Amino acid sequence: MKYLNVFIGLAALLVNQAAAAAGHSLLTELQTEHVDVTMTFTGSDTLIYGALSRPGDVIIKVTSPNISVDLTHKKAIGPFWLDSGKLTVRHTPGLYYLMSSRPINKLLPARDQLKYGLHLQDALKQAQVDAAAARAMGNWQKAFLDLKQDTGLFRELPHAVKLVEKRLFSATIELPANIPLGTYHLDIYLVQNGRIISHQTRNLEVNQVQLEHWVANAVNQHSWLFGIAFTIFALFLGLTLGMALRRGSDS
Amino acid sequence: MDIFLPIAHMDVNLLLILSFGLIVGLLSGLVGVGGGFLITPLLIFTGVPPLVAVATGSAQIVGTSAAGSYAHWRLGNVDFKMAILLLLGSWTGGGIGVFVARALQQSGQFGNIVTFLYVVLLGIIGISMLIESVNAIRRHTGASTGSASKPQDKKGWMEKLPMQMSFPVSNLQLSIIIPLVLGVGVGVLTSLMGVGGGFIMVPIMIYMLKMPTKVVVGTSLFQLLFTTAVVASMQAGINHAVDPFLALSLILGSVLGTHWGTLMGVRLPAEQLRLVLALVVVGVAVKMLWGLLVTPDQLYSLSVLLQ
Repeated sequence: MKYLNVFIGLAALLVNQAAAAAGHSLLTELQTEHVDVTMTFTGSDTLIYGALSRPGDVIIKVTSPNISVDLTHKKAIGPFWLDSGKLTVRHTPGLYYLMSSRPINKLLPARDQLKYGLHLQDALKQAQVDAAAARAMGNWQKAFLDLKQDTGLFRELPHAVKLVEKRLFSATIELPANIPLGTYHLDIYLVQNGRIISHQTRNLEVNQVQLEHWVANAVNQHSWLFGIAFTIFALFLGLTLGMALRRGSDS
Repeated sequence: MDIFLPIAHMDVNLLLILSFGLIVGLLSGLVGVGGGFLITPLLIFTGVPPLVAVATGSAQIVGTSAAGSYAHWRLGNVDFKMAILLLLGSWTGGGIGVFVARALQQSGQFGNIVTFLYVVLLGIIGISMLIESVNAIRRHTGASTGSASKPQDKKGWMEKLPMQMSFPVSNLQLSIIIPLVLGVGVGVLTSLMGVGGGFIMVPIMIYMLKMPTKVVVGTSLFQLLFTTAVVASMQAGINHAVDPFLALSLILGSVLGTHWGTLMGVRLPAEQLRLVLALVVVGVAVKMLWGLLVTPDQLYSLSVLLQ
């Protein structure tokens, strides 16, 4: 960890000088541009750091690709609590992080917050739902946002971006295990005196690799072939294992 | 030791899944029943989506019952004529069940239906096992298999059915409608609950059809192996719901468990073991019922769509 801090310091210093030389007011760098979802994936931390040529605050918005999810609602029917009704919510980011060096509502006026999508509810801007099913669901937007926050897929982190002398910044993007795959967009904003004065974007690729990729691909693209081959494999595995054990205990 | 399940899309503790397989295998080896009806509820309690739990449960039974089926086949305990008719029924029933499961999943009702089916089924099995084992311990006679040679009194209506056929291995005459219908019922249960159906098949074969016990065990194992094999393939093909890592971990655990259970079972008292299993089954049923009755903490829940 100490090593990492020194590394960040040096890197940031270099970036800072480069920034000044190039005339940009914000330069950013990602520790890695690839997050590999392997068989033992239990989440990952990615460091983002950079330099500000002008003092200010930093906001980082992390958006995953859009996915579809089912929202189900339990109702009491007689003595039983049953799933009654389901709403498919399409076109919402699977993950939405708002990280900043200070609470966003202290940094920007409401109009700008809305414009740049800096509230968690802005994740629902493009959401598509069946109108009739949505009416039967009650306040589904609130339920959706609450659940997303409970599972850590939507996060508002008003102190996650660390500033050094208002010139360097760093933040750790903590991704949980059950994240959607694809290209994540990172929007990094430099804020000064209630205005966004610089904006940078970065991409982070989250993909299944190795066996995990191969398996997910087989299951979804060649489902019948996978199903039959896997069943036969399970049959022979069970048979071989069972017979080996039996023979082992007989002798 | 966490692994990420690509289909259930969650990370689980590998040792937990292995121990599920091991414990259920141990119980089934000790008592001589399949454990499919315990694996699926345990997976659902862990947070695996119900459809993935059911589909993976049927794949797990394929691996667990393969060695036993083979052994009985070698011993000549399989009535193939009966097994083929049962399979024709159970493949049909299983196919219907897979599509019913898909329709229920799409309307958001699959979880409810599975929970209700399990509460009813485990309730009935658990309570009848409980009564039987308490009686057996009270009588303290030692023999727990029951008497298979009762006088034939209830077979009247079955003899009147058309399409009678003789089954020389089982030494009986029977209408082919009976194994076909029985097969359809078991097939539907395999698709909707992820069970092999031995716990329904075996009593019907012994007490209603009066088949010899030895042939019953071999034939039902053989039939449930090929029923679950076809249902697992269809669950993967149509519903994309079989998680291979989950299934393999369960198979490893349960094959080991069954083996050790069989070895230990010889030395342990049968009635007490049945009592333990009965209590486990009733416990799982009560826990599932409790989940339906208690006001949930979260009225809403989110799930990522299966592709």
